[in-house]
Amino acid sequence: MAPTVMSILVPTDFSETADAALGYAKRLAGRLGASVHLLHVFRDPFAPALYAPEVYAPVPPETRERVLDDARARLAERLTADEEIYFRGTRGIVTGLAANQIVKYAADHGTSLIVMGTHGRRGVAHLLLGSVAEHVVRTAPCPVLTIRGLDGEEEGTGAPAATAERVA
Amino acid sequence: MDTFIAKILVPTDFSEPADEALEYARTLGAHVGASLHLLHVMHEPLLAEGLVAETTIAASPSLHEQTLAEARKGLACRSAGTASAEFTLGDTVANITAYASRLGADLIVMGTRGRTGMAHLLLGSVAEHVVRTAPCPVITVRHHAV
Repeated sequence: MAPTVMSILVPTDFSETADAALGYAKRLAGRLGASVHLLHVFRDPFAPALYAPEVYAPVPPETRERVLDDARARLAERLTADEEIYFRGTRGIVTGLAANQIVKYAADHGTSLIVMGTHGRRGVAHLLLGSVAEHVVRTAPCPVLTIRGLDGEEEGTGAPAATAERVA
Repeated sequence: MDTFIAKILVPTDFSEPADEALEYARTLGAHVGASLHLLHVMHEPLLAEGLVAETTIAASPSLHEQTLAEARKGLACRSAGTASAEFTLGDTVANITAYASRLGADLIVMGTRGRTGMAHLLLGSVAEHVVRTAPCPVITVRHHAV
């Protein structure tokens, strides 16, 4: 077993908790000489799984592009061009269910460590399935470092309804 | 020197996943210049299952003594290179988080799949519980995932 940390994956939903995790990851990466990879999972708010078929409608391409542009800008604020060089970093956006996509990314890229915040999302899905972080902890192909956010923190893009409203 | 991780707490139930986590913590600790602190929370099966009251355990010194002896032995053979190795008796998760606070731990490193069974199905593993309640960041190392 060689637990040297070569690359750190930081999933972000742009919450304060995720930002704190990213700050921690940069510090750790600086210490260990590891690379930092920032990943945002874009969950299509109109994905069929969330709604009954009668209300399902595909996201209009222009809306989708706008959301993706917004995500790219937010990623670039968090891992700047300079930091990208310093940390041999990357920024990525993928679509799908957060936990699944995070685990898949880690497996595909041979990530050594995932650093992520908990309490990023709340609501019924949390009660039923646990948070994204808990799901990642259970299924990740590598060690996972979790950092707790402040209790009671409300996350900006949390509930599907809020996301749908904002995007629509 | 940047000492943002000065103390790493490694809870152990002496299982294989816990030993893997300890190895991980040793290497990480060496890289970041942190000291290692081992904690074993005594798993008193009868007590853990809630079948007997704590007073019954106290009234059964032979059972308690055997558990103590196992705890000492288990810690002794794992304590090389650690700054401290202690054990407590009681609820595993509560003891780990309380100990982390008392120690001023900067990081907890622990294995998952340490315990399974009904309690796992209902409540999640000990590690998942610690993740939800720890006063500091937690690294979970999945058994055979490293």
